[in-house]
Amino acid sequence: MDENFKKEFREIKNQALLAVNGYYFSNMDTLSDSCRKALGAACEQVKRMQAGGYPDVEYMEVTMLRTRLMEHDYCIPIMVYGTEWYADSRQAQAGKIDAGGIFSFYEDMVRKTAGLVKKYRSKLPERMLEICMCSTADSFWNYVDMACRRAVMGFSPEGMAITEEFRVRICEYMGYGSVCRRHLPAMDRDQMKKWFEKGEEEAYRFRDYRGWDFSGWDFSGLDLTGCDFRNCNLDGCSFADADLTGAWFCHSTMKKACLRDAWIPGARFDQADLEEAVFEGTYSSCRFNDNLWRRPDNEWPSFVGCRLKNADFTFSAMECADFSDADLEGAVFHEDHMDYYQLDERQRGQARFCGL
Amino acid sequence: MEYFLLKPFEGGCRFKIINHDKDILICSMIRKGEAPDFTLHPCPLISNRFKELLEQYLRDMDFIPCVIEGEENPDYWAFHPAQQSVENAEFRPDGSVSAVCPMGLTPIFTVPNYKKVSYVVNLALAESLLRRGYVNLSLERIGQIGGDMHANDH
Repeated sequence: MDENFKKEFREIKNQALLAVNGYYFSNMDTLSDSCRKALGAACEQVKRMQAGGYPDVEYMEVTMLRTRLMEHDYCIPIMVYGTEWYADSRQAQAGKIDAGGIFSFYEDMVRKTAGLVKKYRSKLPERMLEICMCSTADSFWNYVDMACRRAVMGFSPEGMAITEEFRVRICEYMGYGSVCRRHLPAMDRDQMKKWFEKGEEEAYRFRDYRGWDFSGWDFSGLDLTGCDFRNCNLDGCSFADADLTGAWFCHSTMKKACLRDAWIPGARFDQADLEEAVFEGTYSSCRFNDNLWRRPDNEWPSFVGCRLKNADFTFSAMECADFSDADLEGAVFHEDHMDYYQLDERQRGQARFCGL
Repeated sequence: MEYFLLKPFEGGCRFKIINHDKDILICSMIRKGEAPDFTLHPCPLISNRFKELLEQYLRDMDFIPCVIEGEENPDYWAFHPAQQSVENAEFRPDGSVSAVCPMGLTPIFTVPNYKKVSYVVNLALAESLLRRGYVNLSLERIGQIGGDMHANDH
């Protein structure tokens, strides 16, 4: 392929990706709300289908279809399947997500690339534009993926008939993708405790644990990616060495919880009570290429409005952690982190910075 | 399940068959150019990479090698997909298929009528092709007859 074309195309692509990156992180709440609404509408549609005899749903998938992107159709289908998954002859589209905002940057890139292909046409394959469209689609899809990961927080397939293995996936049709929500089978507290004590590798991820009383439980070392722990009692719990990527703990009580060496990119603790919680060695990352790019797969951890009285943040490294309106009275930070964490004047006065 | 009319790559190189062996096709190149992933000239042929993908879906499918004169290994393959009967399809005035009845998990099939033979691929195969950037062919969405009554319009 022509080197000059490659260079110019790379610039066009990077500009578009930088623009969509900024757009997503400025509008992520709106985008995820819209995705959540679409998932809810899909559930309503499934309920209507089931009234007419449609079977229990095992998979609900937000699906990237390149066949549609190539036609400049940016409505993302929400597909449903029974236990046979892709072999299910009754697989159907139950809803759609309007991803026109995210893919407007893709569209702009395609338009500019078309001009570039014209300029270098004698040196390029005939269908170079289509090759570029196919190969870059997933970079833009990452943002739909992220919005949907947030959207499943608070999403409930209530009223829809599902199997015990029900899950929500974000994926390419019969291709790459991942689960972002799994049904939590009905359990009482003792059964739940025994289940967690098994310490299975991937069993606990992407589950909805909202409102449970887990006080004093040991979650250390578990993969709790994408779990919803909002409004829970997590006082005295240990999450040491746990993977808490994208897990939400908003409005929970987490007094004396231990998050030592936990990995917490995208974790949200907004309005949680984290008095005397331990974040020693807790870490996360959310950006690369200096400050220019936010990682399209990781957000920053959020402690907005949290009570962090006497919490211990020594040796932590939580990139871009958001402490807006948090109460940091007596919270301990390493003195080298005075500039690393963005705290306001009041918070700086509340916190203690120690040289250890 | 959605279906797509598989259309040949009209640009690129052209061949002419120069033997009469049913087990192997030998062709000479009459026009140089890009290699098609799917062509109808001189007969329906798919590229090596398309064949490798198709083998993942249809392990038992038979392919007839097509060797370009002067080459050691085949670059193209003739193939004979399943056939859907004309009663289970709708057509445009030019004879190409405009809608088909569902064909289960069959990823590729033909729909012949008295004017022409249409090649149809299902959504899974269409997405697999595009995911790999195999674009020296064209895909055109067609309708489905008696599709799932539950599916939403999109």
